[in-house]
Amino acid sequence: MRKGTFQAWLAMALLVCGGVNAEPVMDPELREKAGRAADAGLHYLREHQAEDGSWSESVGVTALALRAFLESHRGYNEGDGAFITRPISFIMANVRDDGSISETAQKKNYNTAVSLTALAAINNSDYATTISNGQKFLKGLQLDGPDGYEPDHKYYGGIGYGGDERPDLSNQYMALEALKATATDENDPVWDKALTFVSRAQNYSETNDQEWAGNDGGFVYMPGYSPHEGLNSYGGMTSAGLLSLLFAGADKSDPRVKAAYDWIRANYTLEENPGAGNQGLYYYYNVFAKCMYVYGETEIVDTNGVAHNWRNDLARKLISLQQKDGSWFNPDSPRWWEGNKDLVTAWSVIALNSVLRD
Amino acid sequence: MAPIRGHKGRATGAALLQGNVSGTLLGAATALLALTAFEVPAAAEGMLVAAIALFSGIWFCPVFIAGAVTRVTATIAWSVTLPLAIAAATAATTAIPLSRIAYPGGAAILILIAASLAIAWADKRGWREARTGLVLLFAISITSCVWLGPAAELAAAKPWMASLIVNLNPASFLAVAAGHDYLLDTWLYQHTAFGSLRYQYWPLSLFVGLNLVAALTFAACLLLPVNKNAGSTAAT
Repeated sequence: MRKGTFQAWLAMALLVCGGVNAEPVMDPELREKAGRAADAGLHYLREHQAEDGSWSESVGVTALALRAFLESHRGYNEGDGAFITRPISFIMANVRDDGSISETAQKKNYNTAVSLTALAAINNSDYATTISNGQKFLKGLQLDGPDGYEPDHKYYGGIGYGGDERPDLSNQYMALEALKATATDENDPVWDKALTFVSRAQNYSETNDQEWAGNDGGFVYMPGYSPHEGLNSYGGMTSAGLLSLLFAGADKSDPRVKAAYDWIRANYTLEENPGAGNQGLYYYYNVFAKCMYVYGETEIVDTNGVAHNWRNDLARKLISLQQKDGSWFNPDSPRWWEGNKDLVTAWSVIALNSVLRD
Repeated sequence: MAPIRGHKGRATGAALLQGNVSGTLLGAATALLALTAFEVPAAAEGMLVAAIALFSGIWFCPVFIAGAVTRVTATIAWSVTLPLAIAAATAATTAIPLSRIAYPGGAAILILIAASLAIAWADKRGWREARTGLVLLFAISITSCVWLGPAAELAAAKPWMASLIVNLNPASFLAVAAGHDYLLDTWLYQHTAFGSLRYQYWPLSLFVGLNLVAALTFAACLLLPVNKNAGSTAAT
């Protein structure tokens, strides 16, 4: 082959490969709009930040808002000013001797988990000790033998709000997200125990040993209980369940993962939290975006064979729901704090951050 | 021992006190037996024992017929002794350790002192149905998280509203003392809206302070001279 011909083929191959690699994962125009929506959300958060750097006088909400900034397409970090360093100080001021991070004795798992995820996003070794202690605290919350829960108990491996409250899949996924974000050893027994609990919250009798388990592949709030009509699976928990499975080491070939993904395909919608209506809607958007990002598919082909670009769909939906002041909130259902603009705006920006990340 | 009178009529003597104590212990034992039928978190066990002591203490609280100081002293002694006896009996007969009951039990004692002094004061004023009223009030407020859930959900845009409803519930004092968020327990989470709403418990010091103020107020009222026009029973 002559040198010139080879170069021409190489150039063409590079062009083709480059073209394939450069194929946008979402509509470029929509990406720009989504970036502007995220900016407006962050602007709202800056405008409503308290003097001490917190939001809503809550470690949890503050950590989520901080994460929204740190993971945004703007790439904010500690060097950008007090609006980043003050919430970090607020979080650090609420570190407790037991390793938890919380302004209150209640909901210590939730607060600690979202704080660890935010601290991990700072990527600063100054927080390594706090993160390490927080990991130990979260792992200590997991119910197992020493707590009186043997492997055949439905709560075995689960993590709840903290204290000795019952475990649930929502708290479980947040704890696992924090442990994953802070690079917990993948051989740590916490993952296997978590898989046991997560599997028992899935409506999938092939792998769920609980009598109540159905077979649609979706997830409920905790083994044997859903806050929405009987034991029906719903969107927020199914995304949380799938994300938990992936964090805990299950891959796409795992039957539990396949079943959960099939539920999402069969119930694909962003018009509501499928199975729950408008309740927990923004929780759903947040966890759905993170789940789909980790799952790694650009398109979801529903059970009718229709392909959906989840990034485009979610960006359009969140842009359409954004308030004029840049915030989001759920006017239809205040449950799970969805009437709190700081929280819901942070969740929405984090969702957009997942949308905007390739 | 000071002569005492039960809430259903006039009587005196240790027999009635024994009856009250027996009734209290029987009620407490039945309630504890019922508890075993449910899956109760460890921290909630202490709370429930304290709640049983509280209700028993109010319902069976004897009215001491004596001078003001003795009446106040005997009422306080009842309020302290009964929860201690129930806690000790529970620890001796069940797997619930005394340490788990100590803090919520202490909270129950404080509430019971205030409530018993209120009953004694009402009796001094001739309000014989005060005890029933107080028990009803406690029953209504302690179950408010169930029946006020829909209202709290409607008012969820104002988190202070949910917090107020939660903190006016005597169970919240026991819960804060126990370090346990009872509204997140399985049954309550499933059957009330509060677990999914934003609320903040008052600090323990505020609960303690409010109950102390209430107890001191009723004690002071008992120690003050009686209005001759009021239907006093203190001299009977």
